Amino acid sequence: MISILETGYFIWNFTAWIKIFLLSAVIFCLLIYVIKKKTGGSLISSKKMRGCREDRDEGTFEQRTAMLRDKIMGPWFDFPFLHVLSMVVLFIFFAVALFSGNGGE
Amino acid sequence: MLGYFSSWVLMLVTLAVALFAEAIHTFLSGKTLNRRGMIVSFIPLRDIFRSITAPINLPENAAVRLSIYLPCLALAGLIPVAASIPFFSFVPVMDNGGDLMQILQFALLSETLAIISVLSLGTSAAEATAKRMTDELIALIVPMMAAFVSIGFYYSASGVQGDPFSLNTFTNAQHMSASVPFSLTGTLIFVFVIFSRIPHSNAGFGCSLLENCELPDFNGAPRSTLQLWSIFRAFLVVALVTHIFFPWGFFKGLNAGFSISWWAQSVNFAAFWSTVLFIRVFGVTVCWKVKELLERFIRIKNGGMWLYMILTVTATLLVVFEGIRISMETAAF
Repeated sequence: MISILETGYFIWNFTAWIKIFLLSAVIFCLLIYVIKKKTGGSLISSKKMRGCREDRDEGTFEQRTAMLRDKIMGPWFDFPFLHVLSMVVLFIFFAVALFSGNGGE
Repeated sequence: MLGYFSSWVLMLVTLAVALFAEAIHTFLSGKTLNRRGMIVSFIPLRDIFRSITAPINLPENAAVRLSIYLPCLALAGLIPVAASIPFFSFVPVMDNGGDLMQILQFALLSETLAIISVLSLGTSAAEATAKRMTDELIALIVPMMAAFVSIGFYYSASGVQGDPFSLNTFTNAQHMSASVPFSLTGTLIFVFVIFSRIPHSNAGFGCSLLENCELPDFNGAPRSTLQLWSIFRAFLVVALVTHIFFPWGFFKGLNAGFSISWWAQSVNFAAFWSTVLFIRVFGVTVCWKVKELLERFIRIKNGGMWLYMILTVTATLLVVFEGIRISMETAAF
């Protein structure tokens, strides 16, 4: 569905704008979430941490993100020709974007 | 969906040009500062990427979730702005031509999210940084709005078809023609004012938001995200403004006679981003230096602010005057 609002000269294509914003927001937040899980850090002051169990069980979502990190991202970074492979993957992305008919809402 | 995601990934790759430009700038400015006897032992970009994998550290009073995730939302707010610029994704993601007023509204949303994320740290130093960010935002966004509105008015008065605020309309480049000297002068003043008001550090940190000693108790990936946000924002401003004065007439000639000319599209893509890179590294730096010199000469209180206010008003009047002159000529004809 495409939501378009026209007010005089202005033509707002809400769907296009919001889709890009939300896609970016979800991916960036997920990335930070994974980094936060991996690196940890002092997020809560020691006073607030009193009485908390540090070794609490990981939930399903945490397990999934850990799987993404260990099973998918980890081996990729270990590849010997990482830079060449990355360029090949980018080229594939380019070809997909070009020939999948994507181009405007 | 896969095509959409691919375009999105390619857009992030184009954003890497911003990091390349920043690296060249900090390398050159580091050399200059070394020559002046200042030891520059830091490389801001390296620090940003190192800090991504460092443990996240927040001040004691911080609102944890806001401080961690709002920088991501601020960065995400810049992506629709990037998508509106033709060539950014090479294959266009949006077809409504990037309306400048909408672009500025998304830029404002992104800025607001970044300012709130800094405020959520809850320290007095963070409040001071947020205040500085607000001042810099106003100093940058007011001349940009004035430029876009007055050039939009010029196109509206000259009888252009469709949205006069669209980036596509600006590619007509009528406002930069030598036959309209007032508009040309006004636009050049706008370009100088906007470039020199891009938030930056004079101590060799380029367009990074925070310097090494600033907010030391805020570290890790959220800090890096804010630093990257600031670098990308500066680059997007340069790309938007370059769009105003890029010699579109010459490059459009390459497309003539071809319905689907991927080679011409590629040449345009390379030419536009090379120009943006060149302008970011040299043009913007020259504007910053001229700004420093001007502010040193003007010794009255808030002299710099007054100077930029006067320049903005003068540029607006020049472009609007040209628009009125053209509409009167059209009416007489």
